[in-house]
Amino acid sequence: MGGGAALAWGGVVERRAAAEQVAAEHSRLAAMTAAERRLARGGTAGLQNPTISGSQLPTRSTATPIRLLIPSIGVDTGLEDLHQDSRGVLVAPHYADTAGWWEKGVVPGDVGAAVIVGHLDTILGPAVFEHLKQLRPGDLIEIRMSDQRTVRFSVDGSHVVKKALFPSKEVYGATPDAQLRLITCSEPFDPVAHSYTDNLVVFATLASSRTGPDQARGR
Amino acid sequence: MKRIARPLLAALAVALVALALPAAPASAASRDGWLRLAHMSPDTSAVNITLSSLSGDVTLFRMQNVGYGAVSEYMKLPQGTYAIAMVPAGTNDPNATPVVSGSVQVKAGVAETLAAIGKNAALKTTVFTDDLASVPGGDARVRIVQASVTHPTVDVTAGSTTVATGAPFGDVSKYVTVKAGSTSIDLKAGSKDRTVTQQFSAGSSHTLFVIDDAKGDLTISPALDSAAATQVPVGSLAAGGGGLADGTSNVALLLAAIAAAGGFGAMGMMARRRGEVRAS
Repeated sequence: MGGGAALAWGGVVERRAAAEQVAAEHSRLAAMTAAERRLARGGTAGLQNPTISGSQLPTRSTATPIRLLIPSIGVDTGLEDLHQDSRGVLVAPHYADTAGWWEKGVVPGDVGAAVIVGHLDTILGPAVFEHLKQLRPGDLIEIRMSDQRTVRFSVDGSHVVKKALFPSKEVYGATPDAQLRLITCSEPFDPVAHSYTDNLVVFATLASSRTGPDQARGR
Repeated sequence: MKRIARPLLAALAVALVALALPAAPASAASRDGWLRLAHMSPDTSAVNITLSSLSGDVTLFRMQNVGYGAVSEYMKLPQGTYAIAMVPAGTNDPNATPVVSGSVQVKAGVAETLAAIGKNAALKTTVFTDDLASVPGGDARVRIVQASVTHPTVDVTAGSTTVATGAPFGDVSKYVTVKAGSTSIDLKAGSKDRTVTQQFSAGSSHTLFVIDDAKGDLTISPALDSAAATQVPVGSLAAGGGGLADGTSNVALLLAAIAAAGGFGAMGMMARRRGEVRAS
């Protein structure tokens, strides 16, 4: 009997101790999870000063492109500066074997679409962009810059467009990243006007970013 | 003899036509869009950000140690839905509790920003579309994202142009046109007033995140949304003389003959020079 009472008492004590322990554990856990949660969520004690990277507001590059290389179609050419005529039309390069960069436009590697033009042919035969239509998505385009940098672009695709319906917005319009357009003529040829009726526009996007984030392209 | 030659010729003709057919124009990046990420939570330490396929199997982009105030460059992605997770930087545990996780949709030809805003305990993400409109002449476009956690509403002017009035937390203003160049940005919240100077280049669009510094004062984190040349040339390009084209051999040959008759010097000139014969 006495033993039973002792046992019962012991049970009460044990249960009370256990309950106290659980309560303590609870409050400790609660405190810990709060701290842990904050830690896990990367919270700081107070407000921080922002860190702003230079690439957020890039300044326009003062370098100029001096050489264009497209290994897959054997292009390796110097670049001349292209200008607009009095009507605002962009004038193609002076020489058949040299491509030209529109110097009032975007510098290759800067945000925006840089424009490079080359002849398909002359009246006598092939010119620098003879094989431009063979470019396929993923093909590499390299541009050597006057400041020793090499800017690399990857071909996105190409469009054959009627000259009369030239897509100025797609070619020259604003872009959120650094892009490149290569332009030449495309068939058919109008023998009366002595001119091709179409333009071929190759679209490319910067492949190697100078200050970009750690890009892990896992495809 | 003839019976054999005909099908042969026909086959040859088919082959030639096949060769001459222009490749289906691989439409230029038409299925791609752009996404960038911004960390605008003032009491959240630097984070690692991963962007992966929705199944989580393939990590497409990983950015390390993105601190408060940082805006990433744009990632070009095929249109579709992606999973995104931000974990505290320095956490090596791949199963670490994400600060933020969720999904984001990338639309073809559209540039978007996903920003983490708010205090750590009430962190949320907001997604908005960025400007790809052209900006005329010597102008620039600018808007604000109100991400200050200490000031409920903010007024912003750029030079003499009002960008936002009484913008509440999380508000994304419309773009306004300002003159390019160095511009003073006035940030007002109640009696508090702060002016910062910002450079805007012509032909470009910008987003200014209005945020807090360590003292709880207003400041900005700028980002370039898009850029273009300040002038757009008129029309198409005349970049061919027809030497490779069919049906022009008469003209080309005649001119070539004339050039040849004129001597090698003249021919060289014709070949190298952009000839007068090229119309338009």
